[in-house]
Amino acid sequence: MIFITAYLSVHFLLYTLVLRNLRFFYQEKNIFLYHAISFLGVSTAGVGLVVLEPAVLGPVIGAVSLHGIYSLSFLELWALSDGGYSLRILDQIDNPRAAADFKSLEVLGASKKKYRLSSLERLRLVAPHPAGWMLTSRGRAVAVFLGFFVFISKQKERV
Amino acid sequence: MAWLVATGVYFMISVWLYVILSRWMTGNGVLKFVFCGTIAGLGLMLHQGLSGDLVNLVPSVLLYAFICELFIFFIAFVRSSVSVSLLLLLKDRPQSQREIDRLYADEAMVNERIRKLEMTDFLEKAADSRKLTAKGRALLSGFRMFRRFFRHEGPERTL
Repeated sequence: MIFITAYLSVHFLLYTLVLRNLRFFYQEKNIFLYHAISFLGVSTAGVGLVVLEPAVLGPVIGAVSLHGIYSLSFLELWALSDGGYSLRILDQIDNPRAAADFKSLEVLGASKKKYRLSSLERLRLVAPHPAGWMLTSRGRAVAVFLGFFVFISKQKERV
Repeated sequence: MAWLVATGVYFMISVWLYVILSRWMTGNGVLKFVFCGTIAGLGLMLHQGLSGDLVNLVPSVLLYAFICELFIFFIAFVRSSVSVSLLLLLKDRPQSQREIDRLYADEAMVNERIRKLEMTDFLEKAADSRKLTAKGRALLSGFRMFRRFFRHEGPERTL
């Protein structure tokens, strides 16, 4: 646990002191890779350790979980502070010069929708269809998986 | 290995509690899961303590926290992401660009977000527009702090 805590501290300090100032790390993909490569490295080293000494399974799972918590929290905060629509709305309303400028928020919404459809197409989750847009088989699998979370989060109707 | 099984079982208990609570009352889904996850997490700690397996107490709590964070990520994601709602919309049948544009009308998207922000007490109606509540102002100042930390620049950078 001491090792993984020290490793994650170095990972975070390296970003804070050096990497966040580099243009390369302004991009979502590169920030994601910075965490994904580290997570995979720790997991692979952990598997190797368990193969050599099965008694360390508990500490290894703890270390990988701690890395997962750190990386997921970091990436969520990064993404939320970069592109959160609700936060942009709050920011816009708080700006006294643009308090009633809902038009710019609509432009933001329109660009988000256009950007998302092209991103989904790039990820091969949706494809053009004679009628418009359809899911690919990969997109259907993802939609079924996400639909599960919608189903279990179904709320009591407001009265 | 019993501690791994116990971790999985207590996570399932937290999900079941969440499903029941969601059907029973309205409100913020993330907060509801945090409540259910905390209850089941305390149960897991008690279970580990009573079973005498204190060596694996920390790994099991870390693993449990990681799975819970992943779960929270998904329930927040399906509720707020434009990409997810597009995928779920296309799950039933292909949609024309016109249907998508109608369902995701720019004005409607902004209004829906504003309605959610009002429901969750981040915004309130003012004389001729809307203004931030104290809770909304606190969220926004945190958001601005993270934007500075992550070196996010103008609002158009990632859209």
